[in-house]
Amino acid sequence: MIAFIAISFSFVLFRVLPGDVVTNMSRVPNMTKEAQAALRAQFGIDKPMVEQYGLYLEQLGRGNLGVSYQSQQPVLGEVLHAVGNTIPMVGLGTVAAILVGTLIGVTAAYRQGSARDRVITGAAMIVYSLPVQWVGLLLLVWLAGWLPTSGMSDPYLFDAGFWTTVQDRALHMLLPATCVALMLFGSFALVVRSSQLEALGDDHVLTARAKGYGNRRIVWREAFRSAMLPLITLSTLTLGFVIGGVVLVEAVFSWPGVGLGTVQAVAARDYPLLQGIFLFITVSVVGFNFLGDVLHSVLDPRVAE
Amino acid sequence: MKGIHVFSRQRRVLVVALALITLVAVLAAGCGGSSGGGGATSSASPTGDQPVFRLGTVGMGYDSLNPFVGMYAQDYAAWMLMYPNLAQYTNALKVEPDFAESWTTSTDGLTWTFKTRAGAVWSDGQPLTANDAAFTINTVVKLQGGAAAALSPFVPGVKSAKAGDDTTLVVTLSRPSAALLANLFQLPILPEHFWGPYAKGDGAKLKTVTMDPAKETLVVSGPFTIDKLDIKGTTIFKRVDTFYGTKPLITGYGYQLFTNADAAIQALKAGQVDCVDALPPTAAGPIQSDAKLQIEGFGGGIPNTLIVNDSTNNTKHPELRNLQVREALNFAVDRTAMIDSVYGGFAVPGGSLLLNQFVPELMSASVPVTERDVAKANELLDGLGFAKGGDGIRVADGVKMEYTLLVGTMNRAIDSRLADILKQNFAELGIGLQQKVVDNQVPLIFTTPKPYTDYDMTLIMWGLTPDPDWSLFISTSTMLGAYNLTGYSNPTYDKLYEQQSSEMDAAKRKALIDQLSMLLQTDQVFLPICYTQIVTAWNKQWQNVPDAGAPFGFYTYLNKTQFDTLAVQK
Repeated sequence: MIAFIAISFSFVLFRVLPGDVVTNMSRVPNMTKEAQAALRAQFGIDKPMVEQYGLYLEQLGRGNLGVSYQSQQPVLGEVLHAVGNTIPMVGLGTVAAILVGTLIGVTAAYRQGSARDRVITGAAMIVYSLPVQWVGLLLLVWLAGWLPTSGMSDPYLFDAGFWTTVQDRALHMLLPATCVALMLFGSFALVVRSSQLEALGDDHVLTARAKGYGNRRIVWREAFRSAMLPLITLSTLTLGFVIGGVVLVEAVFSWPGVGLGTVQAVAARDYPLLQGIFLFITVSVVGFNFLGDVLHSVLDPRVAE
Repeated sequence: MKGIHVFSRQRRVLVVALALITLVAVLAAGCGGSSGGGGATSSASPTGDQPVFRLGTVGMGYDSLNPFVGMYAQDYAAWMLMYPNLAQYTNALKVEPDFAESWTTSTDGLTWTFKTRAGAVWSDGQPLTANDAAFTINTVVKLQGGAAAALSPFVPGVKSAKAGDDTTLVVTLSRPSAALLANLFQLPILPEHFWGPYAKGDGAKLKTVTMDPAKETLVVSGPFTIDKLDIKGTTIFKRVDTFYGTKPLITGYGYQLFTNADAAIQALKAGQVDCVDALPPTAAGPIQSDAKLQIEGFGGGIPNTLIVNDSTNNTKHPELRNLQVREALNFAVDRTAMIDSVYGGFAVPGGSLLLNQFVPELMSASVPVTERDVAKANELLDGLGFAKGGDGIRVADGVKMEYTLLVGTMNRAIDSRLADILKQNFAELGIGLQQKVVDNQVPLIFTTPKPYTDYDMTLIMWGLTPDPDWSLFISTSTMLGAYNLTGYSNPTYDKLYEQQSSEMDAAKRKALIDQLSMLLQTDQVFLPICYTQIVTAWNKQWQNVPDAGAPFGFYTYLNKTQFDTLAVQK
């Protein structure tokens, strides 16, 4: 139901924007009104919106997401191509953010009120509040020459071997993934710190302390297990969104993923591609939310009950 | 120290975990087969005398490299280097032969006969003849209401084409067209043996050609063909040694899309690309400080113009239809300040929508630039009786002279700053101006319940053609609701335009174009700001970079000769 509403919403949303794929002054000179009308007929956007919507749902029911106005290639292939580019980069950045954020959050909670806690918490909040495109541009300007600043690989690396290719891809991924990690780790650190603090005050943790358990066991086995639930929720929600593309990061680093594809599709008023991307993002968010619920139930049987 | 002890094991685990995750992600990206920039696993490097020229661009790359799909100027630049054209333009805007060596026109202007090159071949060895040209023109004419709509502007008034023999092409028109060659030159001639099967029926299959050499064996006859297609990353072209014209020295070129200027500048400085075009003027500083780089402003074929709603539908601010009001606005514009502070000098004051680099055969003189004269502007408005109110804003027939300027996001970085200066300029006249940033201002002008009712002004950059026919066509009544953004409608102008369009006598046509140009000035149809330059920077190790006088920039659809002598300095 949510997916259906999202599909319908995105269909209407893009069509209420002024203009369409044909109205764009950057297009080739000499374009006449007749040629514009012919193009609209060809794209099927000369039909009433209700008829376009009916046709869209009918084709969607058959698994056909349509054809991109820009490339004239099937939307499914275009979306999968972009998703395939986005997932490794944002996946790396997000998982790094979760791991670093968790370690920092747990450290800060363990040292609550200390200088270390204040520094860590302050730094996490500052980085979390910085505009990601600004952080990206700083990384780009500071590290250009040391690391590649755009694209997924060196396009002029001809006849390279497997490991050279892997090394090239890794270097290209480093800056955007770092940017994603910096964008996200603050929220993980703050959430983990907060839930860990709560857990450290729980009765069973106090009991463990009374029994003389070591700090490592108390922090990680007793307290952190209880503190994991908010982390799981935040992780699944975050993954659901970031897999839909990190628009600003991809724009800064010319990373040809879902986010950059969305920007380019909006500029070109490529309705079928936009609808395909939004469908994917909807499914991704709903899917990860569901995964979060399942994991919650597994980790905390009270939820299932 | 206890804390360190507690977390030291976790740190080791974290480092190992991050390393493993990085490896998995990289392997996923590397083995996914859907690379954005990916040349690492591409086909063999082009070989030859000169290396591949690595060209970058900022903001907008290719739309599609299928000639029946793509519509951006960059697509036309690529096709110009891949396919034959009947004629081409020099950078001085002189028509010169390409695939057609010569041409004649019948006295009634309805028949054009082209003598084409003998002995030319396509990249697959098949002969390239006049028959291919006839096939291309007939396909576009036949499918101009459908699959070939994007190419239809290049065959205006064409009824049909036929090949008399392998080197004779006869094009028949339904009405004389003085600018036929200026339009037809942009049409890429396509090989019938490749495109013919796709053109059958309604031609819908023409649009399915991917132009990806990994999927299709492309057939071209220009100096370059696609070696690796990635229009959202880097597309690599390799030299075609069977090209009928001068063979370029470089063995190929790459065209890389950067989504922001900073990344492009850093890539140029780091030696990751050899040249970047379409840079913002603000790029000049960081590039000029680098001794190994050179930066130039190319051309002057792209005017940025202040459009004022002159339509009779403009009932909100009918005073804008008053010629003297538009004259006053024009006198107030401080073009020097705009060019200096916004364009950093990479622009020249503009005179009209006609090309800055005028062609003597087509026009008598460049259009003069309006000099700033605030006193005269105020005098004009005072003379109209539009007195200032208590807040300093003039009132025209009971309506405050406060306007909204639409600024499109596509050129926002420049236009927003121009709008700030315009606001100051108009304030000196007692006219208020506020800018409104919109995604795309053009449809806003036309898709209101009644076109031209709900906007006052906008800034627009135009892409022009060497022949002024298109520039003049924009302001005709026929183009109301399409490209005629001012809403200007003048039967005298329309009639003169039709006359020049079909006038085959060059001298008479030139006189008509002069009249039209004068009418655009006297009616204050456009309030030109400047002709913008395409800011291009390159590594000085490259010599014979195309002439900075090229009116449409470095990578242009004007001719096939732009990369002919490009080479690395010895």
